Amino acid sequence: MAKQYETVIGLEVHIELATKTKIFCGCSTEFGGAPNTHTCPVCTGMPGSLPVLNKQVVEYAMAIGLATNCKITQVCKFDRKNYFYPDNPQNYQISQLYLPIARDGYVEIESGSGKKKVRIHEMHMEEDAGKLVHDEWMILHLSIITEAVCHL
Amino acid sequence: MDLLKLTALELGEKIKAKEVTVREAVDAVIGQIKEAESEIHSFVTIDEEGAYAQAEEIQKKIDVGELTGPLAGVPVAIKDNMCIEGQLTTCSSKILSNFKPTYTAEAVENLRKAGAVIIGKTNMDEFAMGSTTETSYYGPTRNPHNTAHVPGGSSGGSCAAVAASECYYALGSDTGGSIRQPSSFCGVVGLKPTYGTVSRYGLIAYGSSLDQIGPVAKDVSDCAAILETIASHDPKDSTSMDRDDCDFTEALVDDVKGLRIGIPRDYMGEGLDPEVNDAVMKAAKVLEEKGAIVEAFDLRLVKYAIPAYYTIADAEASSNLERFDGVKYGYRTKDYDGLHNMYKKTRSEGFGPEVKRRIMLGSFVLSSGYYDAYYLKALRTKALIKKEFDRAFRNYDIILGPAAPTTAPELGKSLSDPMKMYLGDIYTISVNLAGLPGMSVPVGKDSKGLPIGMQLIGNVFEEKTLIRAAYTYECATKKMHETPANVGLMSEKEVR
Amino acid sequence: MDDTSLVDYNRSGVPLVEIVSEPDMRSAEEVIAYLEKLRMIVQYLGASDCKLQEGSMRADVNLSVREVGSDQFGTRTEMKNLNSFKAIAHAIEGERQRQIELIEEGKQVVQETRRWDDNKEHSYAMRSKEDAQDYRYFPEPDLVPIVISDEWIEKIKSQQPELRTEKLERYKEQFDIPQYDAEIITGSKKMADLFEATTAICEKPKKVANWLIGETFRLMKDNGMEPEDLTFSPENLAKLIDLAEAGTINSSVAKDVFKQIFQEDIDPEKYVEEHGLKMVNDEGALRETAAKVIADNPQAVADFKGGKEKAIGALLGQTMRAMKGESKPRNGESGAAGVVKIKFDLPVRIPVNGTDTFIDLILKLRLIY
Repeated sequence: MAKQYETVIGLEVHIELATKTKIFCGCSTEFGGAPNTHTCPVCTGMPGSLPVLNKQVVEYAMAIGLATNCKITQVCKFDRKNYFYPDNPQNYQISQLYLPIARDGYVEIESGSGKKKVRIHEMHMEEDAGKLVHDEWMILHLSIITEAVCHL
Repeated sequence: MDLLKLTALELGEKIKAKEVTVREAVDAVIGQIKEAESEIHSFVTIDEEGAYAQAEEIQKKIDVGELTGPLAGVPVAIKDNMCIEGQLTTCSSKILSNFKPTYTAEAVENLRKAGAVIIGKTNMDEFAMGSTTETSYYGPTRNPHNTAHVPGGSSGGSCAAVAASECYYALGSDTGGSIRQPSSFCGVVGLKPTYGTVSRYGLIAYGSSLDQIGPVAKDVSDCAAILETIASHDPKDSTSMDRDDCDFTEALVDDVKGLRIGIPRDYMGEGLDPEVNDAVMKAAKVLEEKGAIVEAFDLRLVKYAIPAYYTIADAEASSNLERFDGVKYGYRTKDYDGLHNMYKKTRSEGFGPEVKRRIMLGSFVLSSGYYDAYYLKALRTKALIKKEFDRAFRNYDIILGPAAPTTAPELGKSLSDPMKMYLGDIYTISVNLAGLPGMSVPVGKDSKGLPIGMQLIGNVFEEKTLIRAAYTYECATKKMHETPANVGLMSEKEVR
Repeated sequence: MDDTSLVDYNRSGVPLVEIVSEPDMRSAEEVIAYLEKLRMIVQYLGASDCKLQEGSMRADVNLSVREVGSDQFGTRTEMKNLNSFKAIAHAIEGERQRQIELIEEGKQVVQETRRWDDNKEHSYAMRSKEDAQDYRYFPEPDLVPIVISDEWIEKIKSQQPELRTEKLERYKEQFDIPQYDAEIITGSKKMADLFEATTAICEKPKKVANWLIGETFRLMKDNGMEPEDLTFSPENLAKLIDLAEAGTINSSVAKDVFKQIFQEDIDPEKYVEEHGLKMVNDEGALRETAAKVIADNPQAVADFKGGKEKAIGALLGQTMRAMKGESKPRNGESGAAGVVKIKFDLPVRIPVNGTDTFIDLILKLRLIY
């Protein structure tokens, strides 16, 4: 008798907020733009720069928390998540671990298996990293090699 | 008239009265730098050309009445961990040896707006980690009172420059005593304000919850005027406070009647050099004779301050220094094999041993499995230390003690025993942990001629109380700050 | 060969909200339902446009398997790089299979991060960025704690735009549109906004609903678009509806004009003028023209009467062209037969009275086509 298996799934969803400026500085969040033109000492991690929180980010996060039946953490704060990677200008990401802005909510869904509550463990604010763009020439070159191999 | 003997405010007045030109003032300090620098080595960068250009511009503005402040035209030196746009800012480290910021620190900007002439950037312990300015990548600074001895640290260059008259005043930074201790070693006045008084924007961070920028000057009046100029509410710094009591020069009043001064017994016991002890007690006596009420008391938790401080400061520093990775700016190793190898080699080559030591310590206390036992515990200790000061300030207006347990040690004697070096911070670090204001005032010299400083600690926002007490002391002793030019001379100073 | 990458910091510092769910989902279907619900909520709040393809919404899937009936959790893996609902569904299926296979073979599932390649329909273990990540989390000393008062929470609550469920009920009541239609329209905030704005101008909610649910969705589907990608204005849709209602253009023309509005947001009034698309409403002239066409085409009439219903199309086409003074078919249609093909794609029922003459029939058809 074949065993029956159940799939157990949790999701971590990242949502980019539609604020006009970034979370810790006044740079534009507009999509596109030539590389490194929406930057300043703060979002490039220059020495001596300091983050300043964008109030609209907090308000959006609160709104999402309230709309998903979460409890708002009335004293919350930010934490540093330290790891080395070039898309991370300070080599730490400002996020929330210990006191995230919202917790213990749920979302009601309906699917083929009926109605269900999917619980939300927590919701927090954080900053996005930069984008790594791998050498275009490299990519092109590789594809040329592949083609040549095929023809042989 | 020997221009170099003047204090910053005295010079400012003479410039205003058109008795002295800004250019002449710059000539004087540049001349002194040429004389003294080869021996003292206070500076990493001297911007002679820039200084003269600034002098010309500022003179014009003074002439048309655009610049009227008390410090307009007075030459200043800036510690090399404060960014100045377009100027080399190194933190006395190899890893920033080619770094030129595109922005200026707010405190420096405030000085600029007031008409200061920036002479150059002063030497420091690498990334402000040290107590002797010997960890600098560019070599040590020497104490102008005795060049075989250290000037203290980490603002050793700033304090030595003021003591050697290479500038009229300087900015330093203080995380665990880095303004107060070298000020006491060099015989100058140094002040660390309440945390949040001076913006940290543009100050290259060491211990973010502890760092403050403050003045180093020849006397208390200068300190008060400088602090008044650099203090501001800066929206670019989330920890910057909006204070409405920054008129510090109002506190230059010769009166301490009824002021309650407490001297912690724990400060005055074992480990304190007897000459330092004597000088500090004599100074307390002077204030008592002027009407202050002086008594000894028990300040608890003193011995926990050092481990708590080093845990917290190094944890924050280990994170703050992660950005120095050779990717965007600063030093990058020449030969490497892949990204992580580049990180490793750049940082191994770019940082000195004391910096590496503290980064490792800081990373360790934050690592999983140890966070609760070390970092969290240190934070709790910090809160308890603050509570202990709160208790003390219910009974006293000022806490008085030495700024350091000894006078300046000899060069080369400290780095071999880091623990001993750390223990020297005993009087100053709890002040940073509690965010309080602290001031170092010269009170004499030891038998070797090395300066001794007393430390005055106030409750939060009580800089004016400190200034008043220090000013009163100064007036009573009518002692002008002794510069090497005046060593041996005791000149009378006009009471203001 | 130089192995270099470039870094663009434009995105660094863009604000994110990360929502972490409990492991409550049991299938790809439930995952998609959850994501769609989240997306709708966030879009309704105006907090984000939540486009998976563009990266303004990103989902990492944590998946484990266990035997049915067990209450222990298996070892889970994390999957990233899922850029569409399709990829998410495939990835879940693929990973479930992979883990089951490992377990059946007696092997361990390794806790790791895997990157899903939707082209290859396969996941790969990612090279870890650092061995055994220890993030050394500690409180950010450069930022002060955020204190959220009850008043602030109330203010946010009161400012919250009407959520989907409320809007749905309101539409049914206020505009008297059926549940099914209201569900579709409120399924996306953009669609709902378009509906209300257009209705506010032309005051014909049911017509607006039809145009949105019908033609708009059809064209969106053909072009692989989401409601957020719509660019036409409520003013132009409202004008089109008014034109059709007034009888100025017929429904076939209306659809064509709508396509132009959909693609380029043209002003339908101008367009109809410029292209001479107005329906002629002079019944007398119409009857006359139709009579002439009938007289000129006896074969077509005979065919129709003989049971070939489609023959009427030719007569209709000629009538229309004659009304406009055209002698040739327009737009590449290849003559009467071509007209028939295009015009008779959709089945149609014409209400016919016993007393309707042939001409009446043509006129009724014209209204539709």
